[in-house]
Amino acid sequence: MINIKKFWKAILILKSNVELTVNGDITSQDDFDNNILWNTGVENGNAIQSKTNPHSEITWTKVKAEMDKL
Amino acid sequence: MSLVKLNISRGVTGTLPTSNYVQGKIGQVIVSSTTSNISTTSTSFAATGFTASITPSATTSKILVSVAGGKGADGGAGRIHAHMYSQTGGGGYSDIFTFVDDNNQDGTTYGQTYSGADLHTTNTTSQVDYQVYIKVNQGNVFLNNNSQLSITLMEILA
Repeated sequence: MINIKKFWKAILILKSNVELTVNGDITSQDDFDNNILWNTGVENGNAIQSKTNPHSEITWTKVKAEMDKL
Repeated sequence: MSLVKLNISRGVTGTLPTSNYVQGKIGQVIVSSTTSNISTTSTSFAATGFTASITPSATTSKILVSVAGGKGADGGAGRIHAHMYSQTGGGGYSDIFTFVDDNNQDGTTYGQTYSGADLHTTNTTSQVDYQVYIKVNQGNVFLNNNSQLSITLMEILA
């Protein structure tokens, strides 16, 4: 399974209803910090997005651990 | 009235006066391409970070905006929507046209490509930015999965 598909499976294992958008691959802490926009709300039908991860239960360490199981 | 056809491949020399033909109407052309994975679980329209920008040379110009490529993936499972948004002078993005509407990525099919175009009236000589926004009804979907997606901007002169 290619990396980005493992990433999504890992994310949805950690939190099934989390909303985020990825541009690029996620293979490192740096990618995790820079290639993801996390939804923090909705305004006029558009997502309010932030590079700051608002979900304490989702960290790169936890995501990587789940990816390594796949 | 009889019609005489000339073979202009021979026996014609010199320069035609510009009043004798319609001049080219295409101004600048901008192409922005990405091979990055673009995917989401957002159920409201979310910026992807995939952009293209142009600064029209005249307020009377229009911008032909086209987007093509991408690749749906079997890792996705949901119905993807993709719209082109624009902003003028950094004033904030708004929706201008749809190019993917409710395309089903059912978890097993893959390889879908996407395309769309629109003639955008900008009425400005400020920089105009275009960005792809996407959303899904549920689950996660891919607009691009290790393939190429391009935005082409053509300034159409008045």
